Amino acid sequence: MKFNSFRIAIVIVSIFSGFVVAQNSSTYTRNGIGDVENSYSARSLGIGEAGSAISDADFINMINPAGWSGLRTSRLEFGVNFSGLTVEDNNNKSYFGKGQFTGITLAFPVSTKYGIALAMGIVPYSNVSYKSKQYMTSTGDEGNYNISYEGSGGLNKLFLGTSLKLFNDFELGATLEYISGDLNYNTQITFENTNIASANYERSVKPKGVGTTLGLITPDINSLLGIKNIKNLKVGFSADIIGKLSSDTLLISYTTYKYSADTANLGSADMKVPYRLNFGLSFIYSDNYQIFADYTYQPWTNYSLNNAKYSTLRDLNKFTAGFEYHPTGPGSGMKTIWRGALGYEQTQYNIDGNGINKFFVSGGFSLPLSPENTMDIGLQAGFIGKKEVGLVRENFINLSAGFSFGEIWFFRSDKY
Amino acid sequence: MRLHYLKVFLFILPLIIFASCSDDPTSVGLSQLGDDLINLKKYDTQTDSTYQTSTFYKSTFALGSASRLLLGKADLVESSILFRFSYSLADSVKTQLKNKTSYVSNAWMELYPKYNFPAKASLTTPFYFRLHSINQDWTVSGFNADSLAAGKVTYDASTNYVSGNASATDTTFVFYIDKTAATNWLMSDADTSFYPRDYGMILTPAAGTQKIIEFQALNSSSSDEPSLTIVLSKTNGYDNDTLTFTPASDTHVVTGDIPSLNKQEYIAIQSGLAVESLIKFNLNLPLHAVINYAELDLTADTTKFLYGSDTTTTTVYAIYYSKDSATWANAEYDPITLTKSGKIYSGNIASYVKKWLNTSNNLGVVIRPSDYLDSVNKLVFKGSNAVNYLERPRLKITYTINK
Repeated sequence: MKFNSFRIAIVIVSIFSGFVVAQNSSTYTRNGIGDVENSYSARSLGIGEAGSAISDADFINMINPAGWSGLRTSRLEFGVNFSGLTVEDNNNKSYFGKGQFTGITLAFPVSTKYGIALAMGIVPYSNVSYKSKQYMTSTGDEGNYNISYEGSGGLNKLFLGTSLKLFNDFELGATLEYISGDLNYNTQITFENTNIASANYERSVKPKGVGTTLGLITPDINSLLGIKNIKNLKVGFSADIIGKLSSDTLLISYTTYKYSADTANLGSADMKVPYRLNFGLSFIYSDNYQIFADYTYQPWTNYSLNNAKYSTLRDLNKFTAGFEYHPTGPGSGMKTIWRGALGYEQTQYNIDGNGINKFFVSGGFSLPLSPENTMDIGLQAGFIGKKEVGLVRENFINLSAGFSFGEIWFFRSDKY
Repeated sequence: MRLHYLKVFLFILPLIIFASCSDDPTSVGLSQLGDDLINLKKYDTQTDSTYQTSTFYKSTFALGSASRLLLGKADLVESSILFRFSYSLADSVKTQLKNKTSYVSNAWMELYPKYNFPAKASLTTPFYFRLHSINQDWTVSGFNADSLAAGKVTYDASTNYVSGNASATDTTFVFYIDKTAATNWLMSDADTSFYPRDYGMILTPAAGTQKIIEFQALNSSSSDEPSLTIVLSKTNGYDNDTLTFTPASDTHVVTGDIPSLNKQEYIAIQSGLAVESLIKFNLNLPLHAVINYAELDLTADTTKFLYGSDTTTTTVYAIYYSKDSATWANAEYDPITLTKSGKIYSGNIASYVKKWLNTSNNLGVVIRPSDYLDSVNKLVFKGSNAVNYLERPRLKITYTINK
């Protein structure tokens, strides 16, 4: 690992750690646990957060742990993300930007022969992020006032996992995960008349618990099909299962004058986050192109908090297809890798009977810093929802920058 | 490697620029927020037909920490002053007193008037008083009118140790003291077996007095404090010793009757005499309402006010009333000041209203003079049963609640 590359990465992470307080989604994220995060890295963003059938030698696959069995070198990956978002309804339109450090993973092969690799890291699982504000005019004693609504937080996943290559090159993977985080929903009313105290309503849910992701990738099944110009035709499957999350809940309202705190509700509740299934297909076409397609299903109608279910949620279905271009031939290790994807998602949000759908296009590239190290850029643009019937449309662009550092560890160097 | 740095920089730069930009939030998406939406509401006891009660009563104040000492009689109220001195005489003086080689040749007390009650009183307003030695041990801590009534201080009312007439100006008040009394006080310090023992003195108003003078009490700056001066002369005719003492402790005690008013129409408060009012509103507010503002308005009847030359009648205190008493020993019960504007005294008691909601225990709010230790000012307000309902105590509340 080049020291200079690492230093660059530290600088980037430091810069973006200062941008975490901002908005990068809409009031849809008030429902459930917010937007589900499928990716933390630029590479994953570039392939539309898909890849459940990809067993990659140079990247840590966060969709399917079975994909780690292809790792050749120890890898450290992390990224920062910028989200540019316009949120609009029939009356208003606002732009929001947010930059943040998204996650870090470390993986190293223990046995390339048996596909054994260990991986660990912390990555986002969900995201709540919205701001909305009402400006109210009044001729009463209180004068004009405004009400601000803000949602923030999300769940994170700390994981430790391994992979294994079985007979006939079947690849398996599994992780043990600790899920935690906090979901915060705050409302504040402030008055122009400073004699009138502002009021704050703070509601938070702090879930914690364990989960697992199990994955499987088949060997090349083209040997059975015999399709020309295609190789490494693989099918992948992964299941992300989260047990009941024990959640501390707090609802507090207060004003700015002394002794006014009102802890209205302090307790605990079980949160049930539904399992997530990923099915994928990938193959290499004409030696340079890795083609893939993924389907994701998550039955959010099973989500509950304190045994309460929510009509604002429905089952999630997501379809993604894309490619990754890998240069081949002499010097290919120092050539740029390109990737792109298209996706359609029936999100889990179901507002007043209107399903909220998402369309996106992704792309990106990996710029070699050295044969094993790349700087990755991912771009995703699209929209969610619609402006009609009192809904909100988000037009988003996500730009992610990350690094993937590779190093051969655990190999004894020759002594002279 | 330089090329790589350049590439990295070119990608980072736009990210930083874009991440710095955001519009102010708008109302986009409000309809998705469901239960998080909040409403601003108002409650007015005058228009929301709220049952209320009010009364006034006599409490007790320990006045040992007052900055004034009140002496006199006016408007059915009278006030007495109690002093204790610590003489701590030098051994040589004690010996001379015990050997009777020195004696008290003169003694006087000097006090510093600050205000008169009522305000119209002047130097010529009749003012008479008496000085008595206290016959039993007592302490100023917690001493109040009830202590006096309970006989915790006794004295011989028939014996007056004031010698001659007082000399009074607007800034000083001097009177001479019977030399025998002064001798006894010093002998009590010089000889532990001497009787009568010294337990201090009490100044009481005498018949015919028509005013109360507010003197400066002990204070941290020692400015204008009361002083007792005793002149010792030697029997051999040589030299005089002039000894000046300031009190070790002082207090005053106000006694009298509760103001005579129509309780259906009025409530009253009076400093010193410890007359307070209690007002209670039966509010009908949502349990989890957040109280942003709660203005308590009292309508004063200034024609019934009686106050001294220190017209500190522009503010009164509102105090959270707990189960046992109105107190602010705990900072949570800090008094809230109601300020006069026209004939309305008003202040924000939002924290009290919130506490009533939190505890589901609304015992009301006490109204107390803001100068409750230092004067005998009397203020009168319209009560909960005032004929004109617009003049009754009023609570205007602005609150917020989840939709």
